[in-house]
Amino acid sequence: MRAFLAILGAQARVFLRDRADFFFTLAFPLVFIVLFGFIWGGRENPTKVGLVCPPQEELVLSALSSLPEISVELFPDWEKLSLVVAKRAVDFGLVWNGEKFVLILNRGRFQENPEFEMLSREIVRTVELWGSGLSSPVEPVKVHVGKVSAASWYHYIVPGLMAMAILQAGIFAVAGRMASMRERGILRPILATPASGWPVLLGIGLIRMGLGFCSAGLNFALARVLFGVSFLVNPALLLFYAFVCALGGMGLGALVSFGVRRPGSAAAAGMILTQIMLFLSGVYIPFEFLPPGLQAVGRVLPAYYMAQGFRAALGVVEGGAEILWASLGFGLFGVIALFLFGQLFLRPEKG
Amino acid sequence: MKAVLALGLSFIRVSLRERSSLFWFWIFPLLLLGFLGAVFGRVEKGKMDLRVTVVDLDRDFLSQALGAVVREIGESGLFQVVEVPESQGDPRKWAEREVREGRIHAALVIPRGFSLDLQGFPRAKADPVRLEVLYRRGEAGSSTAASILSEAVEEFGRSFLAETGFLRRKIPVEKEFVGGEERAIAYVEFILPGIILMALFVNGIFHVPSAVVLAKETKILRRYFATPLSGSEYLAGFALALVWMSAFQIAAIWALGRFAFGARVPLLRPEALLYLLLAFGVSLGFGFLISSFSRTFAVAAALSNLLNLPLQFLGGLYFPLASLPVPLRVVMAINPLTHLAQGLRASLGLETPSFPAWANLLVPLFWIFLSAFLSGRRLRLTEE
Amino acid sequence: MSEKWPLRAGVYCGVVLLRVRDLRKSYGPVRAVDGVSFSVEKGKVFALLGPNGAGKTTTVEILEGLRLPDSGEIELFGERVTRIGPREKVRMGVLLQEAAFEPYLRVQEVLRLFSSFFPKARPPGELLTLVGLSDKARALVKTLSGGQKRRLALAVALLNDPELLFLDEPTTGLDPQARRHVWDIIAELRCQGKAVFLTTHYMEEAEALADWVAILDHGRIIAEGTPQNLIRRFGAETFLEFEIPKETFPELSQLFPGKARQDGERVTMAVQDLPNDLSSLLSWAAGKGVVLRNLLVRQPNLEDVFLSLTGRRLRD
Repeated sequence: MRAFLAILGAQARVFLRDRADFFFTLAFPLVFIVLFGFIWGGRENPTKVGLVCPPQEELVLSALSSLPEISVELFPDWEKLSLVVAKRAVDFGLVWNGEKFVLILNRGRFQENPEFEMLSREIVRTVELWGSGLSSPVEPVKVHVGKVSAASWYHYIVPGLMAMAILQAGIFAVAGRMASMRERGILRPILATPASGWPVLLGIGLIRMGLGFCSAGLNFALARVLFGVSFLVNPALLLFYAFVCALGGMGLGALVSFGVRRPGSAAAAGMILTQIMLFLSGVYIPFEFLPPGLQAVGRVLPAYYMAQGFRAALGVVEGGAEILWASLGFGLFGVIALFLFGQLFLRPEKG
Repeated sequence: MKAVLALGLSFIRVSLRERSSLFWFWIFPLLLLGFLGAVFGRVEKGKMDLRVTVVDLDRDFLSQALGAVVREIGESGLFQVVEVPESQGDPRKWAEREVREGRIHAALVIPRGFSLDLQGFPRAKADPVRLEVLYRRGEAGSSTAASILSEAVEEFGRSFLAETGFLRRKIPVEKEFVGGEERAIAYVEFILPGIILMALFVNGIFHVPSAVVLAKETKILRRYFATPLSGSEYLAGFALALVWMSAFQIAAIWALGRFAFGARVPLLRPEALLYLLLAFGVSLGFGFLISSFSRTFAVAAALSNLLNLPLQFLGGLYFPLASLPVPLRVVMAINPLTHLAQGLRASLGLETPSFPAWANLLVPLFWIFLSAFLSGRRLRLTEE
Repeated sequence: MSEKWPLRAGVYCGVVLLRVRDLRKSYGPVRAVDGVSFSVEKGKVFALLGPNGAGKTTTVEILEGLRLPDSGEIELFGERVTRIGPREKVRMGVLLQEAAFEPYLRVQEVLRLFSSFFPKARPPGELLTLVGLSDKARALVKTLSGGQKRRLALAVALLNDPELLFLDEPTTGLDPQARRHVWDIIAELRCQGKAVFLTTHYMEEAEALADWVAILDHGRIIAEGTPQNLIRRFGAETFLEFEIPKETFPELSQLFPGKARQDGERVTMAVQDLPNDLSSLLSWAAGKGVVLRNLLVRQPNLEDVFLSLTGRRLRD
């Protein structure tokens, strides 16, 4: 017990003094929370529509003004409007000549153009209906049936980033820190003492797990403070997912270490695995947007389930049995892989 | 000259043999282009794996017509329509559960009496018929599916009014595209210059500190300078290697875009080459700037990582950045990658830049000179 | 005295390739090099001997052009220089104390790379054979052992067939066989008329190779001369070494005041009159019932010189 506590203290001190490790583990992940928060975390602004319309066409002007999701800016002619749309000073343009509309889109705005086209159709419908003295006979009403916390895409990103922070901390605890300790011979003097090697493993694992939790917590706090996002947190579920994520992450790190010949390559392989998981887990890019082949790969990767688990724990999605069991399995895998890694890690070197 | 060439060759050999260097500098840009092209190429064609359902509580001819419209949209590939199982007790509750638990992205609920109410419109009924679109707010796929269903409903209502003669006129809409050259642009064509700039930038900000700070830290530099080799020869050899590597990377990325995705990107235009040259200068400049402010390689690596992704994201390399908060717009404006991306894309006919042409040239030039000035003053290849 | 490598006297004597006068270098309050003066002649091996931290590496790195002195004069190849640049480096070969090469380059690639830094260079194959690394020509540097890396560094130092060679701790980390091999090379270089400036903390290396030794301590040369002269001047005639229980040492030192030095159980005694002193020692031991273990009689060496000058060992 004494040895274990001493190792815990030593590992904590080592971490705090290694500025590069401190930066990459705690500070660097916050960059993404801030960046994505600014891009997706704010309130949605009205779409800016440029309009060329004869002044006597009050109907068109009134119809457009009645739509709360757009803000209208008038332009004198088509050329000026085209230039402004091309330079993205407005989102799209409409030219009304009394007979027809001409919708002007910027060909470079790929993701947004379908939405702009939809809005333009809504505008045209409104003008048609007002022109006929009618209102729409149907009114589709969007009803949110998901969890209360899910307000924007940023609400989905934050739990995903929290999960990745813990997963990464786990992977690098083993593939990075432990593998490098063995390679640099730091472990040997300890193994030459009566102290068992298991306190070393556990000590490193606990510190790294704690760091992962700190990183996730910092992400959460920053998102809350800077962007005002709120979640309905289920503390027990959050703790559960945090633990299995950390354990599973360390198991993944062990798997990586088994798979590479040189310990020095384990950290690099861990980094590549993390990047692949980030792209294929639905954290950065919505899962549905991935081609079926990549979705199939994503469903095999634990990051997908961890991200969903954290979303469930923060009240963003329902969760469900599939996520729970998959996460439990991941945690169990982590325990087994760590045990096997420990056996290899602590045995005397051959040759 | 002999020494410069020999050093250049050595740097390239080392880059190809170090596995992490091989992956991040040579392979990753190609993987990224492939990945983003595959993902967003699909989205561009309207292919997303969305699943919707239509709950017809009315089961009359107009509700069935609406259901048919939704199924027709589904056949175009925009989404897959999941039929409500016959055995379900309450189809609306079933749909709500399916949407809530994430198995279906959105559900359109056509209420009882829909057909009757619609037929009575506008004479008997002043209020529109409300149809619920169940979805999960915030989730991109669900929001997209819900928007498509809502629009389908609105269009159905409009068609109903047109066919029943209530709509006085249907206004035609023509579509025009502006920005860049007069041709259709695919997402891959838009992103290819961004990936090229990313590869160049990453090359500079990671390779330069390795060649300068790490080589100094591991005393490799000191061994070189115990020979007649001068500092400028060493840097020239390194720069030569970087030119070769960058040229190869650009060619490989272009070839992948061209032959795997059919992207037409005329990189040999003089103006495009100018922006590529500026990009090379900016990447070298930033690399030397980071090196001159870093006493150890660990610090340099941290700085490189800190600058790398935010500058890429805020440079519009992967997605056009339209509306951002003011602080980020300032960062965008002073970010050399923003101007390089806009200038390069404009020179390739892919977009009209939102910044003036002089800004797209001057901002990168400013950073090149600033980096050269600061690193010239601070950087020391030897201890003395 | 240890075996002396053959000195080919007379052919190159008197041609000074390196002359240093009053060289100084400080790092804050620490005077790393404190007014050092010496010269190195063609066809001679000059050894700068001293313990770790004496200032040897700082001195040699100034002469290699890797550091700037605070003051002093340096004359290289007959010309006074203020800064050692490419013109001088072309004629010099350097083996640094810590020489690193790109880990992902092959041995022959390293040699080819460094060859390109000089107008003329020896064939890499020839050098690899000389240092015994022919079978490692295609090996990556990162796969080499410490000793092999050192030999590669020596090969690089000899690439340009230099007139003046700086070897900073050339045999550190080498096994005895490899060390002897390097000594052979240095001796051959001297015979070829090269000037060799050697730094070492191994006194046997200095004794075996050097024509002239300067002993450096705390940045100053405290003595210099040929190894034999130094030993004659500062060392006693003979030394007795043996082991006795530690507690018996005080009594022994009373019998031989000022002559005996204790290092754990090992005792070193400087004696002028070997027969009588040895007889007294044996009588004392017999009388006290003390067993003298591992008794040996040896000639003085440079370690003893350093000890007598500073009161410390070279390897403390």
